[in-house]
Amino acid sequence: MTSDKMGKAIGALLVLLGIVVILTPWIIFPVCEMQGLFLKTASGTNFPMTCGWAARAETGVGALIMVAGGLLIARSTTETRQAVGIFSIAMGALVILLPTVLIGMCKMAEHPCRMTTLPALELLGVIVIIIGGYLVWKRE
Amino acid sequence: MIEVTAVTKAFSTDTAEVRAVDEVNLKVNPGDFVLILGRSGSGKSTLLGMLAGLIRPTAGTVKLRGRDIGTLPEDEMAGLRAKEIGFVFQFSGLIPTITALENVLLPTLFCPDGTGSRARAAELLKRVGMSHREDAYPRTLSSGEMKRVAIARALINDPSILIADEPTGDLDADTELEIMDLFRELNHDGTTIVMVTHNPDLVPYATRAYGMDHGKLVEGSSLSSGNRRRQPASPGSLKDVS
Amino acid sequence: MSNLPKFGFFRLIAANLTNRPHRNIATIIAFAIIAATLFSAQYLMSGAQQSLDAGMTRMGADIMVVPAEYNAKAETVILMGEPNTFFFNDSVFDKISKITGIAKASPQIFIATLAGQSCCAGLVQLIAMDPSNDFTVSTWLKENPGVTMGKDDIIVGSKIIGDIGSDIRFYGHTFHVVGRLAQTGMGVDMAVFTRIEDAYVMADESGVKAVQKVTIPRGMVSAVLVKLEPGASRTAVASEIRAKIPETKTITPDGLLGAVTAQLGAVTRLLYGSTLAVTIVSIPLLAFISAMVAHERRREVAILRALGATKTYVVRLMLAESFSISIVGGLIGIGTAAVILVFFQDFIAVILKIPFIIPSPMAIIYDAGTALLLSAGIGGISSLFPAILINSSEPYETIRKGES
Repeated sequence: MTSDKMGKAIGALLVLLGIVVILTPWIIFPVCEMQGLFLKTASGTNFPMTCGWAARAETGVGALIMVAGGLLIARSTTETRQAVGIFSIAMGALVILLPTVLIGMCKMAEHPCRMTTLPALELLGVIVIIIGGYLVWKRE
Repeated sequence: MIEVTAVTKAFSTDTAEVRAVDEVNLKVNPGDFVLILGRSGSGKSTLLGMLAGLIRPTAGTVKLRGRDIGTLPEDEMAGLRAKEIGFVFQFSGLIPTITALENVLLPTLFCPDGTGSRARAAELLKRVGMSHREDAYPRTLSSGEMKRVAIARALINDPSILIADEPTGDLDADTELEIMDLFRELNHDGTTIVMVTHNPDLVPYATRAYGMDHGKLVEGSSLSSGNRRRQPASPGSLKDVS
Repeated sequence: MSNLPKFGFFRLIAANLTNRPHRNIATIIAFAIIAATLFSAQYLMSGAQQSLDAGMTRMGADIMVVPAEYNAKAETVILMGEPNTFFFNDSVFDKISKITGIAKASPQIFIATLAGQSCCAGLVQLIAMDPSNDFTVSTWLKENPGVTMGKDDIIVGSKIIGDIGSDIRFYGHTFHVVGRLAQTGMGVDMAVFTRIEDAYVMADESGVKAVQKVTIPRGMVSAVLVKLEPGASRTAVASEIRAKIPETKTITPDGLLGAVTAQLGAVTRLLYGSTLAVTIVSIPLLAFISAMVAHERRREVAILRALGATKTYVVRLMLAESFSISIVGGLIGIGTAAVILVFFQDFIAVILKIPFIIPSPMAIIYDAGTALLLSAGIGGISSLFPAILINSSEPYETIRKGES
């Protein structure tokens, strides 16, 4: 496969991964609020829990990953590949950091967000980082 | 070098017995360049197969350097083939997954104590004019280039004899002449060659020429060069009777 | 001069594998699935076994006495951590202490709670106990072993959120975290332990301070943990307890083990059954692919034989290629399975309802090795027949067939 075709294929892969990152906390491995678990305030209204906010943030990051992938599909030059690679590493790291350190998930171990959403996002983050690393490493 | 005495190869079809090779006598001396001419189905390739020990004769003996190779066990014959016989197939027969140099080295796997080595392989490729394509894979080579590599491969174990089955059959006229020049050079340097072909224009390259027709060998034949159309393959089912 | 690796048997195999990826992909995937299935089965079993060993050795108590009608619930508390609340009269405690063969007895009160303030929905098992009398919790401590419990001190299970030194609230009452238990993979990971007197205070104040009131009736306990004197027979003492105090049932580690093993048994059958099914389907499939490939390569094999390869050499070559593919596929399958199993281990343990801790490195290596061995074995078997078959044709015929 020529490097141009390879670049476009990886771009398509990134777009797909971005979509999966977006869908994971809402549909594939939904967070607590999608399963009816909310914080109840004193006045009785429902409020999303920590995992819900992490999910919203992940939606943004997922969209960015899609944009990076689209960029690579549109223009697969060496420089673009390197740039997309570096940003993919950063975004992959963000996918992992959002639900663990930056925002977090629910504290209870048996909540669905901890049992399924979190590991799924961690895994996706690792995959995106690996792809980014590959793009950076493969010079030509 | 090779002594063929009253050799016959017969196949039985549904209707009758067919003799692909019929009581052939042939002697090849060291340094000879023997050309066997014949149309498709004349039995020349079957004869060649028996010279190389790949086909067992139904009757008669084939002796390579005094040893009767028709009766040798399989594995011993394989070893002998690796060491003594260099074979060039019609379609080159290169292994597509390894490079040209590695293809040349292939026979050394079956003759570990032979003369083959990387250095010799490179030298042979240079000899056949392919040193610039050492690392190329067969799919990137032209038919003529593949044929040259096949010739180098046939020579890697320093065989007593080079056997070529219609080596120029799939080449265009110019490349055919180039390959024949190569064969002539090798023969001048001392390589014994036995070659079969259907092209009578190649006769001048040889030291001796024979014709083959319906399994019978004829000395110094001259088939007309006009009819070069390929004949259809033999009909019916052939059963080996050896 | 080229810089290629030394040419030999292994180079030939490697070249055939790397330069024909499309043909090999289906086979590699098949082996990956086989190895992944077996490895997953082994891994989960190892983890369950590890958890059982950890939990059982640390249980400390030889017998646990619970109200007769709540026996099943007590087991679920210990094993799966589904919180419960139940009681019986604490006069039971005095009666038990008097039975011969019993060295120590320690009462516990089980209360299902609303979780602490750091979260919202979800239940934690609160267990109130007498620290001066306790011989189980203290042996379980991972962080801050040897701690003594003072007023409003609480010891948390491994999965409860809250570092040592932080506060945690139950039913509106604030507790200070002073210790954390080691992970067992069982129910106690989701439990917290307080002193009985603090629990009473919590319950009394809960009407005012908490979202929901909890009542702990005085004079009632949920369970009595019993430690036997050396040499005393567990079964004998357990029977005596049940005889003398009819409203009770006894739980022993063996009994618990039996319950878990039964549950594990169901899972084991499922997992190993899957492996068997996958293997049975794969062998003919792989044999078929192998035969197809062998047929495709008959010309190549014929050339090798014409160049001097013996029939044995050809068989060795094809077997070696098959083994290589099976090992590559096996490693891919095991690697992928391992990644998923590790990332999703909590989810899997809950779904399968088994106790689980990550197995030791040795256990994992053993599990991976077994799976790889199976993969290679199948590779060898499925390629044996085609390898022999391919040798049966005459090389020269095969070569020339390709020419016309």
